[in-house]
Amino acid sequence: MTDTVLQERYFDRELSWIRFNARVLAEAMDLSNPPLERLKFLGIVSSNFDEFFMVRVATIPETAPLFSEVYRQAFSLLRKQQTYFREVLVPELETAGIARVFPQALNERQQLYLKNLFLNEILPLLTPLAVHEKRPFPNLVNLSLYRIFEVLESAGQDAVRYALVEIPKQCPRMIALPSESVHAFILIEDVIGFFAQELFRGFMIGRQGTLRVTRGAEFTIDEEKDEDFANLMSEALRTRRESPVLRLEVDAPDDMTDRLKEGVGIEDHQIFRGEGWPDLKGISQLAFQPGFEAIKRPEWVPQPVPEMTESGDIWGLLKEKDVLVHYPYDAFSSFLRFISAAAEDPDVLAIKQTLYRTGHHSPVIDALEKAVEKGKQVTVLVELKARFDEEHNIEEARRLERAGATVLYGVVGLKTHSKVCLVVRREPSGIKRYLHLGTGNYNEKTARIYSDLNLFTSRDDLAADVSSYFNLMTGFSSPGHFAKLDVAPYGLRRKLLRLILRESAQTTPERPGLIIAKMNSLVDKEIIEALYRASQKGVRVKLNVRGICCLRPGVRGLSDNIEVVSIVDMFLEHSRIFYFSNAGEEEVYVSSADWMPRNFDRRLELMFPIEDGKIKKELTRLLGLYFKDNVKAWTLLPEGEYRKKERGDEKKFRVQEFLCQKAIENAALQNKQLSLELKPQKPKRPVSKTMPS
Amino acid sequence: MSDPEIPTKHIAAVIDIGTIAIRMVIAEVGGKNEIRYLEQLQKPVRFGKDVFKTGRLGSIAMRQGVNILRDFKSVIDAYGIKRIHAIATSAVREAQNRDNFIDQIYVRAGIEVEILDGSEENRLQLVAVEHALEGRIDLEKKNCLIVEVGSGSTEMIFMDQGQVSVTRTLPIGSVRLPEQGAAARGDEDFIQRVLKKSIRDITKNVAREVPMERIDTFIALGGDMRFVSQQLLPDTADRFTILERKEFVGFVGRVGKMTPEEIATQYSLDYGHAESLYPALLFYLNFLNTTEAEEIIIPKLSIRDGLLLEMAQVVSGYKRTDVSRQVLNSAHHLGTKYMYDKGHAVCVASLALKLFDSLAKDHGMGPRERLLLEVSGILHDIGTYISSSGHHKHSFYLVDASEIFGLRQTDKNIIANVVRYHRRVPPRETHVPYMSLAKSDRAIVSKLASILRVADALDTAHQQKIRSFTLERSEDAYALWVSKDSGDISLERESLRRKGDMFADVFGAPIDLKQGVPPAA
Repeated sequence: MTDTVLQERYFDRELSWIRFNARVLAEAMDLSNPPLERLKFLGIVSSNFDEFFMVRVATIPETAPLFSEVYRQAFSLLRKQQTYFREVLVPELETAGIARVFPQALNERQQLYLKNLFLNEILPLLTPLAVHEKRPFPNLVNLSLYRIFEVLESAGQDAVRYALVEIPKQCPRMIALPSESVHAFILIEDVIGFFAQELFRGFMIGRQGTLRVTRGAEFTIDEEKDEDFANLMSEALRTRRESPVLRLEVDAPDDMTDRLKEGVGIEDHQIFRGEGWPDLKGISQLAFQPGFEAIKRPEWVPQPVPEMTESGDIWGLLKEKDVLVHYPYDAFSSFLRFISAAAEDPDVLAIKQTLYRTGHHSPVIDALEKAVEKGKQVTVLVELKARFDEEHNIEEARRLERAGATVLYGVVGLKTHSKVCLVVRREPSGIKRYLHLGTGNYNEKTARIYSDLNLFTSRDDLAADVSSYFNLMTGFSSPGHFAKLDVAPYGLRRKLLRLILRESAQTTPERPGLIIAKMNSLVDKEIIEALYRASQKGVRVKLNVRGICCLRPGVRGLSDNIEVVSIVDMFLEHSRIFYFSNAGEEEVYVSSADWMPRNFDRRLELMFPIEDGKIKKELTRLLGLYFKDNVKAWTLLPEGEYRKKERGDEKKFRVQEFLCQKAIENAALQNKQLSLELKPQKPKRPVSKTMPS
Repeated sequence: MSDPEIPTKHIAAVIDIGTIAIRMVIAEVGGKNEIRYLEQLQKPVRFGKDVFKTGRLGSIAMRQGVNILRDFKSVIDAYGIKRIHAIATSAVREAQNRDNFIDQIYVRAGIEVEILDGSEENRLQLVAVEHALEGRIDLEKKNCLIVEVGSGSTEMIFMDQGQVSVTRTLPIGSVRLPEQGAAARGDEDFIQRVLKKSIRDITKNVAREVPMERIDTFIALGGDMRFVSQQLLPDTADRFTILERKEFVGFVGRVGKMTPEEIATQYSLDYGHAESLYPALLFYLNFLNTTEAEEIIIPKLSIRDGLLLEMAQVVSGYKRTDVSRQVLNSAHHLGTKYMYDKGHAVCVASLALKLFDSLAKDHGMGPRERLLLEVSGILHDIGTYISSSGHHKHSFYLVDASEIFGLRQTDKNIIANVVRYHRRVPPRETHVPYMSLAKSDRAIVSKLASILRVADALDTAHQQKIRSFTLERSEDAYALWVSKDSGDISLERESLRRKGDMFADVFGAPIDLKQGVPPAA
């Protein structure tokens, strides 16, 4: 790959993002991963590109050279993905007993089974749309799969007519077939194609095809106009089908494709011609089929954190020390314990929390509901601008609102991206506040796949800051002074620039400064420039950037001392940790924010310092481990390529695997300690009366 | 004050409804007056724009204020707080329709708001200053000016060797420039000239009482100065910072070169604050320039902290700031200004207090009234500065027009009336200043004035012959016994006969002066 933009001071962010997906694809093609694990990664590549076309491509002007370059590079990767799937993975899956059955190969029993299924469950959901020369082309739903048919009057006629049928989302994409030995399935579009005659009675069906469109989804809402945000968002979701089509994936004869191209109004270079396996994201659900353990990665079971979950007095524990929990090595149950303890405790007065991408039927929401029932003041900030999850978020928000919680829908103009939970508790010595600060969403599902950090603490100064932060988010207060927290968009970038500058100022040849930072994306030009300057002053800068990185490392005279690695492995690297050597007075911060303009300027984000000496050491060590990885690590080269780290004679070290091992040991150790602790019976503390509200 | 639900600590909310912002602090107070802050909120308002132009709060401003307070209330409710102290200062204080606003707040947000007048602000300022400097800077050895430039008013407190001498509440502030024309933005030089002139006028006026060149300590309260301190000396852990004059001058210069937009972005301030920052700093600078101080002491506390501290002091009884001492200092300073007979004033005040204490069961008044009586004793004769004939009436308006540290307008109304009735006719229904007092205050005036008359009679010769007495109460009469050492007291007895009539009226029995040892004692 050669791009002109590479000659610049920064890498282009869109192309850098495509490179990230190249690394994901490499993981999908890494034979050391079992077949179904590889299939998962293939699915991720697909869904990543879906989002990319919707969100990013929509922002590139069509006239920019980048516009066609993005298509060229993206399609080249997607072509590679399709080919790999068809030529390598499909045969492997067949060997393992997972096989797609094509209509012509259906046996009688299977046909009968499908016919029943089609007539009873699928047909009622189908709505054919005619494509007329003289009528507007039907409006195609974003990311929906369609079947296109050539429809002919039964008597021979001249004009070719087409009809479109949306494949219903309610139906499974893959339908399991009754069969003796293997897991046989058929794709729903094949079923619809096979029984299409039922749909077009009195007509003849000619050739068929499949297609899918991707629309730009970046929408702006006039937030000042309407106070009811939930209504506003529902509206925004509906209008998504109006935005322009940016990509057409099609698997159909050329004349059909031409008609479609004209219909949706798209250029040739925006058309991706598939070969039989559209929407691999849907297909990748096969990886989650029960069974087939032999071709799956052994499932990682997050380890419980006994000191949190087993402790009889979680508040006492947190008064004594800070607790660090690292998903998915440590289990989400630690947070659930925290929130349910708060909901149940008669002395807890209030709970405040941000919710952003909660899971379905979230136990977090259950706990909050319970807290409301118990008369606590529950304030929840629901972020409705979380990409593509809005419908779900709105539903959860309404549920809490009905229960009696104060539900606020984010701050106008700013997306709430920080993850923070505050518990206010009345204690004999006064009000005590307990906090959870994290980098990950309150979502038990993603907590099993995303690597995220969580800090539980009761530090007073942090708690006061978090209270202020909630007052800021709820609109109750203007930004005030924060003692410990740094908050975007109120000075987070400035703080980081200051930290980088301080490192530059203190660095000496004898004792060079050191910055180690781990994040998902590095885009912000001001920060990049500061890092360049730091490097030029002699500061060593070690960056672990999983995704987009616009910084060019290792360029002589510009960034000699900067090194960038990216880890792409079974868990999605998601935590943001920043280390500054500060002439020996080391400082470590954890944040919800990537170093991107959107995080600094258009989102409510938090960065908090790690003050517990032990945890600080632990995180410093953790940061180092990411640079030791020689199995799943990629090094970013000055020209923009990523190269898999060469192992040479070194011992294999895979950081995620290492952390799994460590989590098991930790849990065992904690269990042992807990069982050793003497637990004398204590008289129960008298239950204080609840306060009148 | 026991509150079984919160065993050892007391949570309080203090709300300050200002001119450009409404602020709230929630804190635990108690123990040794320490304050543990739980929440600090602020929300900008534009009350000044309405009140200083039209004299009234507009309906939009009122609605906005009520909504903010409703939000604040929900934060308060999360803690189950019952102790809410809400005060309103300059803009609301001066709004003609302030009562409607306060009623709206009560009805819709459930918060009772008290209007704080300038002298009470002074009191809270002093509490905050003393707490901030506690043990670190000894004000007893300094001549000091405390200034707080607010948005709609400016407070000045002068302290001479630790004693409050003069206080001033000025109707100018950072959004209320001395000449409204100066508000025409953009012309910084003009604003600067106007400020300079008006502050020179103010200090010239003050200089008659306080020699400005002797002021060696400049203490600046207020959010704008705390902001400066945060910018220039961010890492100080103390409750105050000390800023050198030239550093401050440099900072003001830098801010002066920026537009409000730039200030807002650079320092993450809301626009209202950004807009008023420069004028506020210019005020401080001009005040500073009238003194000899080379540095500025910036306490990190505000009057909200002052309120919390007062609450803490009530709760704990620990180290109460001696406000009454400063009230008396300020009263004496006023006396000096009007060339009072100090010996007489002190003697009358002390005799009056003695009588007050001896009559505790009969009058049912408390420490506040006692303080008002003492101040009245000090000031009762200042009217003679104008003319000795009808001097009680001169005393009345001099007190009415003067500022006395720590006393609110209602307090001063009582004192003015008490000095008015320290001689000649007792209150009548035709006396408007008396009748315009609240009924309960009229009773206080009568009781205090009748006591003051007796005390004044005992020193009618201004020779302090009688310095003490013993009160004897019988069924139908009071007797004041003084020692034989007092010499001839016939003059005093005669005087008491004339001035004691009001006492007899008020307390229901005549009072007589006797020499020797009371029979029971």
